[in-house]
Amino acid sequence: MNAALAAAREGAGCLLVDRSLIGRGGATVMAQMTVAVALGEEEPDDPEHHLADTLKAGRGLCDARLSELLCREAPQCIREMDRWGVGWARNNGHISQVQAPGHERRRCVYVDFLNTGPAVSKTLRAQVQRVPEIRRTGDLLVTDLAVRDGICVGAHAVHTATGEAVSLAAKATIVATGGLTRLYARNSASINMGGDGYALALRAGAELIDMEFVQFFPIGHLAPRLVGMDPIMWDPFRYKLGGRLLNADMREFLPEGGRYTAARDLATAAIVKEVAAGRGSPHGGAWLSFQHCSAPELRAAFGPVIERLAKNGIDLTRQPVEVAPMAHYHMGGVRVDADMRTSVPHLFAAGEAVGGANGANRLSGNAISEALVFGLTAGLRAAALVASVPMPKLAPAARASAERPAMNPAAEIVRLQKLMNDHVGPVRTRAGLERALGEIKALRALELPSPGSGMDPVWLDLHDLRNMALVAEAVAHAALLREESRGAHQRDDFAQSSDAWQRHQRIRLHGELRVES
Amino acid sequence: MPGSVTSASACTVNCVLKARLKVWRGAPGAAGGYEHHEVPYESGQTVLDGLRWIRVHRDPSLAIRFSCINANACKECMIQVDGKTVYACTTRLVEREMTLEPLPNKALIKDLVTQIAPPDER
Repeated sequence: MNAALAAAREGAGCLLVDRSLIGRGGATVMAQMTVAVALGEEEPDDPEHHLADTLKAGRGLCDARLSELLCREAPQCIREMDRWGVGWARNNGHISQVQAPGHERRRCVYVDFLNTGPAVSKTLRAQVQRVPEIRRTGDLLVTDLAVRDGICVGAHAVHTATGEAVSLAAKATIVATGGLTRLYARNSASINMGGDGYALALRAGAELIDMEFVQFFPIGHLAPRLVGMDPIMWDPFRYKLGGRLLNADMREFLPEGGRYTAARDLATAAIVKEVAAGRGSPHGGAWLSFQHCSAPELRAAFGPVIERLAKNGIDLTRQPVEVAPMAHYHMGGVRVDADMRTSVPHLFAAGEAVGGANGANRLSGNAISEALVFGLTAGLRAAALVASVPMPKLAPAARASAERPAMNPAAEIVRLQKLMNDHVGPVRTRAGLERALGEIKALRALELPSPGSGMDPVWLDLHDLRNMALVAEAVAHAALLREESRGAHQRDDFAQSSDAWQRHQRIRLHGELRVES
Repeated sequence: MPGSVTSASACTVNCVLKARLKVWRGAPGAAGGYEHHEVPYESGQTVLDGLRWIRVHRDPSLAIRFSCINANACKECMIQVDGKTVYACTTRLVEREMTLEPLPNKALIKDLVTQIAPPDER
C-alpha cells in the first residue's frame, strides 16, 4: 500500500491487487509489537546507531545498502504515519519509544494495546482509499508474472470468486506479497504468507537471496487454545515481568533466573532440545509461567489483556501456558538493489518479500519499518520508470492443460508444513534436510490445472501447494548447503559459525533450482 | 532430531469432544443444501478450526474465507452460526449440532463465502 501511495504521488496510475481483501491479510496487520525507528524522542538517537544495531543483529550477513536505506528513511515514514493519524503511543506529548532486545537505545514506537499492526494497516487502507490514481481490486490471485524478452510486462491472475483469467499489463510491477511463514506447521502469520512472491519471482527469472534464514519466534503461544489474539503476544509481558520458561519437570532450562534475557535463536534451540529429549510440555513446547507474579502485578502489566485471557479460560495466577518456537519472519527473499529493482527489468519488490536487509537475524521492530521504507522506495522508482516506457501489450495466458491430480491438496499442505517444521525448522541436520528435499521434490512435479468456474477451493489449494513446494525447496536446498550455524540457521551437525560462510547464497530457477554463493 | 510437531490450532492431545456441524453448501443460481460432519476437537477450539479440519480430512472443496486464522485481525471469516452473525475464528465449538450458513445479507460466492469486499475493491 505504501508503494502505491508513493507511486501515485508521483503521478503514476496504480493497480493494487490482493488475493483476498486489501490490507486485511498479510503480515503487517498481525504485528502486535513495535516499530524500530531512530526518532530520538526519548533520548538522542540517529539512523547511524539504528544501522549499527541492525548490522550487529544480522550476524555479518546484512546487505548494508538495504539496511542503511531502512534505517535512514524510517523516520520520515514513521512521521508520515503519525500525520496520517496512526496513533503512536505518546508520553508527555512526544512519541513514546521503548527499548527492545538488540537495540542499544529506546527506539521502538507502538500503538497500544497490542494494536501496532492493525493500526498501521488501517491507516494505509484509509490513505489508499482517498487516492483516485490507485485502483484497488481484491480476490485477484496473481498466478504468474508476465515476462517478454526478459522484461516484466505485468502479471497473469485469476479472479478467485469466479475463476476468470485476468491479464494485467503493466509498465512496472512491484511484488509486495510478504514472507513464507505458512510453510511451517507452527507459524504466527496469515494464511496468505505462503511465499507467493518468491515463487513468482523465481519463475519470472529473478534471483532470491538468503533463503535459509527463517526467523523463529521462541515463545509463540501453543496451548491452551487461544483465540482473538496473535500467538506472539507473550513477548511484551516477558519484557515487563520476566516470566519463567519451564520444561515438563517444571525446571528452568535456560540460565535466565526468571528474567527475559535469552536471545531468540538460543531460546528456540533450547526449547527444541528439551522437546526432543522428552521434556517438552504436553503439546510439544515449553511451559511459560507468571505464577510468581501477584494478581495486581499481572493486572498492571497486562491491562485489558487480562480479560481477553480470562475469556480464553486462562488465569495466569493459577496456571502456566504452553509456548513453542513459531515461524515468524523471513530474512531472505527477492534480491534487489537499493532502488528495489530485482534482477528482472521492470520488476520491483518491497517489504518482507525483499531479502538481505536483516542478514541472518532480524532485529526486533525492523519489519514494519522495512515494509514502509521499501514500499516508498519501490513506489518512487517504479513511478520514475513508467514515465519513460510505453505500456506493453499483454496476450492472455494460455489455458493450462494439466489434469487435476487425485489428491486432497489441503491435506498435502498440512503434510508439507509438518515436514518443514520437523526437518527444515529451527534446528537442522543433513539427514533431515535431505529427507525433506526428497519429499518436496515429489510435490514439485505438480502442474497447475485451470480453475473451475466459480470459486474453486481445491484449485486454490493446488495453486498454493505448487508455490509452497517451490519455495520450500529453495529454503531446504540453501539450508543443506550452508554447513555452519549462523543466526536463524542452526545446524545440529555444524554448530559453529564459519568465516568462510560469511557470504550470501543466491538462487535462480533454470528448470531446477541453482544456488550460487 | 527435534520432535515432530503439528500446528497450534490442530487438535493433537485431547481430541475427545465431538461437534456436529451442519454446513450449508451451494453456489449462486443453484439450490443449496446442508451437509453434516462430525468433527473431533479439544476444548477451546473454534468453528474455523472445525471447518479447516473438514477441508483437510473430509472435503477440500468446502469454501471458507479467512486470512489470519486466530488473531481476529483480518475480520474475513464472518458467517452465521445458529442464525447469529459471528466470526468463525472466535466462536468455540460445542458438543451439539451447530448450523453454519453464509451471511444472508451479502451476495453468495460459494458455500460459506460471501461478497464482503467494499464495492470499490471488487
